[in-house]
Amino acid sequence: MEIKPPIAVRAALSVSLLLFCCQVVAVDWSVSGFGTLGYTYEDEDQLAYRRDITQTVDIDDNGSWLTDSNFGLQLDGRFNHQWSFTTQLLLDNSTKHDLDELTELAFIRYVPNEHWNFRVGRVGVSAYAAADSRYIDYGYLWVRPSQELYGGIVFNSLDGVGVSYLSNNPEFNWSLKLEYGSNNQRGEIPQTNDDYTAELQEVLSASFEVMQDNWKWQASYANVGSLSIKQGASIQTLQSQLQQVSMLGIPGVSEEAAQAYEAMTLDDETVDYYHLAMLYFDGLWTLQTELFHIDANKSSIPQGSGGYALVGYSLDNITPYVMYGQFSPRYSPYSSSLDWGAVNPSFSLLQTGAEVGINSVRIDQSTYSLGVRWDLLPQLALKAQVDYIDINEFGYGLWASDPSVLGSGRDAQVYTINLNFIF
Amino acid sequence: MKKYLSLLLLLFTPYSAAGLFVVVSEQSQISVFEVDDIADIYLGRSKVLDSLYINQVIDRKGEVRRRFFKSVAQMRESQVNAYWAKLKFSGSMQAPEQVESDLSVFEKLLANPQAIGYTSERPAVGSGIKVVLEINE
Repeated sequence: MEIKPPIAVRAALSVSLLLFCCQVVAVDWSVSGFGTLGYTYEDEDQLAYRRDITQTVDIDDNGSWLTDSNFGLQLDGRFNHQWSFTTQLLLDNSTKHDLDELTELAFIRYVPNEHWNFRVGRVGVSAYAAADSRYIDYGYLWVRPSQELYGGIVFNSLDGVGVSYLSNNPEFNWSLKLEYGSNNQRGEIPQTNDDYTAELQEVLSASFEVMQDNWKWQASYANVGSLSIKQGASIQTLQSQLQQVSMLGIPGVSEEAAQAYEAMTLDDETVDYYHLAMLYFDGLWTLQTELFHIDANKSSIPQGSGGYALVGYSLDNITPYVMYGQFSPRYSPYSSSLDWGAVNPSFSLLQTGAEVGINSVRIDQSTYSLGVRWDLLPQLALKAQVDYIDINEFGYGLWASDPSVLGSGRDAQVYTINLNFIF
Repeated sequence: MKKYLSLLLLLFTPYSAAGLFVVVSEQSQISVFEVDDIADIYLGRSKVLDSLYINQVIDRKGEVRRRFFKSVAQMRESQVNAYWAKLKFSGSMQAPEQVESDLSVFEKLLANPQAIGYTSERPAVGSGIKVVLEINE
């Protein structure tokens, strides 16, 4: 019988806990958490802003309390100085709210000495500077991570193992982090409201970090060995019709239908992520930048190059900041050269559906942000941010958009006010 | 006039002499290090101090904690909380345990020679605790 990773994770944790409990090991328990209460408004019709592509949104809504609002609850247990465990539940605007989807972290940690750290279970990914802390808005100046980088990444934890090595060298302190495992991420296609599941198997993440005084540099790489998308009914129907047309032997049209079918079908694909980051913080100045490149074979996988840069300066409890982010796609927009409707009028709708399906995930935009963080209390911060977003034609992949807007670019403003807390 | 000056000095002596004391068990081998090394330990950037593996970092709450991080890391308490929130809630590492009083620090240090803490009062001679760094604010 096949055992799916989440069940394996829970089983591993249950067995480990049982073993420790049976040995009557004293556990130091600790309950803590974090959260955001926020409201976001964008001024464009036929568009809805998304913090990331797994969020459900209504295209007709301009304002939402759900874009950034979340609540995380963490339970830590320490058996001794070597063994501990961490479980974290996160409630946010996800498509599903079952236990598997709510569980953000769930792992056993073993720290044998000053160098090594081993984790098994559902562990965070270190491939990006904020990959494993993207929902902990209290920890950052911004109201949310750069949409260009973090909006399109669908995994921030893996069901598997993680190991890290810290050099502790006072002159050249470096660390190496590796994670390996799988991840299932569910989302919703805004145009059809169909659910889909992105299955990521054989995911390897490797990160090399150097820390020196107030500086931190990071170079990392992640490889998704197998990416498969289980589409909902509407997309499956579209794929099926494309496949049928591809087998009709119509000169030109069948070849284009075959290409469209191939582009839309993601089964056992590989994706490579390359990343560089630099962080500086001295108590007054915050400098933070990340550069990335995503490489895959299929054009329906969002891919390209980009990054962001943030600069902030603390004036006591108030820290204004500016940020710029960009995503440049690797592929040109998809378009078929023939008029399928000339062969059969009913093919025209299929042709449009294929072009929308492929191009709707393409990302091509840049964002200018201006914001301020006000630390009201040591565990409470109020933030406000204004984003000016320049979206190019066929570059709406991070948004929930009406298909009619895809062919022309537009500017959008996003206004956000958030209250972040930890406890 | 001299009498009033003496009174004034006495009045301000407790404040001006107030400091923070980085403390370990007397059984600990730690002896020499810099303030920056302490900042690295308390910000999770290093686990080694004076060649010794520190497997338990004891933090404080309230005003003592605010003074400590302002002195060793030039960070406000909210900045320290933000810094550790990223590490703790990402599952990267466990945040230092926070205790209320100097006495609680002493108890934990006596139980673990590989632990480190800080106090607002100098430990008494013969307490089993030694001061390895005095921080003048």
